[in-house]
Amino acid sequence: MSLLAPLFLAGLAAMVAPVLWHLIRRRPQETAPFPTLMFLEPTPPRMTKRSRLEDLLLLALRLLMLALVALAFARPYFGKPTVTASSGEETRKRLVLVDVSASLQRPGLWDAALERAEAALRELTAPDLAEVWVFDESMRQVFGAESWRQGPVAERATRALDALRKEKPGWKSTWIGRALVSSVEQLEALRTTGGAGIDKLEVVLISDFQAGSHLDGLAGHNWPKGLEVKLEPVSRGALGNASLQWIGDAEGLSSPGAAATGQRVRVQNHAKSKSQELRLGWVKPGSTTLVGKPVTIQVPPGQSRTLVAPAKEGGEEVEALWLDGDETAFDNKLYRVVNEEESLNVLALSDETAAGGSSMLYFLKRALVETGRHKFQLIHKRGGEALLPGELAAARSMVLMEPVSEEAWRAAGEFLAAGKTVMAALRGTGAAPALAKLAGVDQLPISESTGGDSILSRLDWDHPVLAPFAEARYGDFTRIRFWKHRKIDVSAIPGARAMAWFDQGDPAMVEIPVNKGRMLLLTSGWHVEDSQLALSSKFVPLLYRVLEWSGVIVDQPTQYRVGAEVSIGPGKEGETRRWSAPGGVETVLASEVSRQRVDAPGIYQLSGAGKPRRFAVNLAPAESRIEPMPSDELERLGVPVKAVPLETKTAEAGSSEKRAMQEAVAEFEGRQKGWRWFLAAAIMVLVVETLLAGWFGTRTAVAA
Amino acid sequence: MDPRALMAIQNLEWRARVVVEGFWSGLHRSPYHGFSVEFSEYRQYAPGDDPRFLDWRLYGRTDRHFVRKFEDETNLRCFLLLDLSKSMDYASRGVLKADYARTLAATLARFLHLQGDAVGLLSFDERIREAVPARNRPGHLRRLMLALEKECGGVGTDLATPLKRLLEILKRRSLAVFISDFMSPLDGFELPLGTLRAGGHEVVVFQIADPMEEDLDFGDTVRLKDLETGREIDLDAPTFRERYRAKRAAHRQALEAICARHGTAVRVLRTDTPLEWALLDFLKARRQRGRGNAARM
Repeated sequence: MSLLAPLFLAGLAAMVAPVLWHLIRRRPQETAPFPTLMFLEPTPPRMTKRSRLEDLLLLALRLLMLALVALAFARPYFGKPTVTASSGEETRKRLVLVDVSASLQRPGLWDAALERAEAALRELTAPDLAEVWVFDESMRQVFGAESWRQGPVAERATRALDALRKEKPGWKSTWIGRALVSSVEQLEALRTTGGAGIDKLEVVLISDFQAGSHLDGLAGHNWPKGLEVKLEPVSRGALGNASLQWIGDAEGLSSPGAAATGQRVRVQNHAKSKSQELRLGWVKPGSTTLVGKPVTIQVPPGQSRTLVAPAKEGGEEVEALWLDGDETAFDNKLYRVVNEEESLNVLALSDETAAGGSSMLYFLKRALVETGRHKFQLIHKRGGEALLPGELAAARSMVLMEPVSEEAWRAAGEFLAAGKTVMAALRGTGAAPALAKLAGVDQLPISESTGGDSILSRLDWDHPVLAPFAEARYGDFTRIRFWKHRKIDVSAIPGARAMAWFDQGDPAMVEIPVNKGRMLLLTSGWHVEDSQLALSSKFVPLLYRVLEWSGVIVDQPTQYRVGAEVSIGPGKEGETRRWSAPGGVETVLASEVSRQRVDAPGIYQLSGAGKPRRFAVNLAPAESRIEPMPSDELERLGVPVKAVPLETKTAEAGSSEKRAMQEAVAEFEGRQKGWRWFLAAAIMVLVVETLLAGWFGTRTAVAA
Repeated sequence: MDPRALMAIQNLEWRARVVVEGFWSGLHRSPYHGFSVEFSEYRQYAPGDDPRFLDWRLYGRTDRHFVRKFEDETNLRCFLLLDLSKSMDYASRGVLKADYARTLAATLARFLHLQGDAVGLLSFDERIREAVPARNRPGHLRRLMLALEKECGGVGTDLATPLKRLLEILKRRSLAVFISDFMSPLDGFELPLGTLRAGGHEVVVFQIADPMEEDLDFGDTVRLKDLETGREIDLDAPTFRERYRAKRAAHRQALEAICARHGTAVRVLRTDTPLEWALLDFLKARRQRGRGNAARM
């Protein structure tokens, strides 16, 4: 039997205690009175074995128990470890994972991280293999295993470090969970391809382990056998921080109303923060000097305050709010962009009057309400009214409500030819010739349905207009009753596509491509004589969905977080799109690029595709939570964390052979876990001793 | 009655009353019915009997003539010799030997007083502490009780002193009840005892003992302090127990031998023994003495 921690055998000295106690207890502790000592003589405890030690069985049990506990702590193991350090076969596959998230931008942290990485790389021996990766929201390789293998042994660590030194902390969030899981996958892949002898996997995770780190995916992950994760925290001590966030979603923030009244921000102060008097004001790009009239706020540590941001002063250059007075500055800037309100002209062609509650126009007028970002302008034209050329060009969308004059249909044709979208609803069969002409067919028979009441029994969820309703909770259209509808033969129109059908099998909605444009034809009106469509909760979403589909409404948020992908849509032929990032970097986007990632906070601009689009990018709020996470958080989530820090280990172990031997022995002992048996035996002895002592005590009491 | 329960009664007089009344009620149901110190029994009148002793009340009830039969026509004089030395101030099971002895003395005093006998007291340690002459006046019992309640004192015990004092004061044939733990050398005890007995006085000896001092039942080594002298010794009780018991038995045998030589017996009372038993013992002793006397007469 050998021992992993033989120093604990010093605990055997504790065995002297019970012997002493057994002896000492023979000495009278107190003086008892007695009537007379005439029959008594002094008899001090004799030095014979019998008089010194009684209850030998109990004494023996107590000694045995202490011996077992001491042995358990000494971590005994049997036999010899099969892996020897000098064999040279024991190799490690170490993945050094360095945090480059925004919180590492705090002064000193990156240098500390580099030092840790250096220690982790330099302690590796010739047969070991290493890779260096950095991570924030995602992971990327800095120095690969192949480069490590190919380099001279003496220069491997230096080369890897040189590669790492080229990296800098960015602005993205810390996703430790994602990084750990990915790194383990990398290691596993290398284990399978790395050949024999590589069976010890190590991840050295160098991070500030801030509370705002995302640990998703760690719980319940199946960690491979033989993996060890060593945590190398870098920190600057318990520094406090105050952070700044907009309140509300991107939509609300960019609304004109909010711009007029000022916007609300939340200032959150860290519990360990020493400063509680903060100032909030606007700054110019690249500056931290507050301009205009900053406000002073008191936020006690651990609390948050919501306030209206001070009015923007200082001209167009001013683009960010700055929180002044806290201990950590990397997250103190908050950018903002407010889009101008957009006016959208919708041309409504109908002979109805909007006064009556039963008309389609009545419902259309009420559905197109002003939102924070869009202001609809409904231009109503009756059959006899002439359309001005400018009106047709300015209109973004057209709604055609039958019956209308031939003039109106001609205008619709022009509208479609311009590549725009027309939404038409049939109220009778009279539009058949105009529609046939528009669709480019000789004849398009339209007839009134005689089947009576009907419902929408089938919808094509793949169609872009209906796709948002595909979810079960939104997709129930069966409650909408249709009293009347018109039959139309979709197959007679080239390129037409039905997207909704009545229960009799007649198409309810049909998409008809005309020239460059598209027509959405409804075979029933939404007024009360035809259907309940306008009264249903589906009407307004459906209408807005048609407007979005036709490109009238474009959802363009103005606030993003660092790391988000901004959807910019595909470019059109012949136009040059320019992407301006903060700091004046401008790139020309290829036409196929439809998404662009934002990696740094600031104001971005996309120009060349119509009206220039501006948006603000800010840090993710979680990144501001720089207080350290609980030390055992990763262990709690099941990550096989190795407790021995790198530095301690390197300091303790003089040579790599000795170190390797120690590790091999520790691993060997870890597999046997002999200490558990010794501890279990000690507990058993304790139970027996307790029972015996109790029994002896009872016997003595009875005898007395 | 358990002595510990009895000792919970603070007032000595009440304690004595409890014992005596309990004893009486037990006695009336017991085969010892008719016992008393002097009063023996009724017997039918026979010609020649002194008509003074006719029980007229009984005659009134039963229409028969009875005479009360007395073994001794004169009233008894009794002296209680009570050891109140410091060695009596010991209790291992909650009952002080001194309290037990006091209660025994008080019980006897009350019992005899009720019988119309005169009771006196001599309490002692190495010298006489309290001396109350034998009387049978109203209020005398109260005085006795007050004297009995005196605390233990003294650093030693002299067993001869009270006997010698008794010899000085006794004029008539009397009864001496000697109550002590006899935890002192017996030298000098025999001579006054013999003198007393030779003078026709009766002596009843009670030895009060505590269970612990009987058995020396300390489980382990113990440091003991002599209550009287204050001397301390370390004692390995388990190893010394047998020798102690032997020495103590020898001492008791010596005491019994002394008493036996002078026609009296030693009655050992452990403090865990009910006091009624002591009283019964006392009456038995008296009865035997009476018979012995009669036999001698």
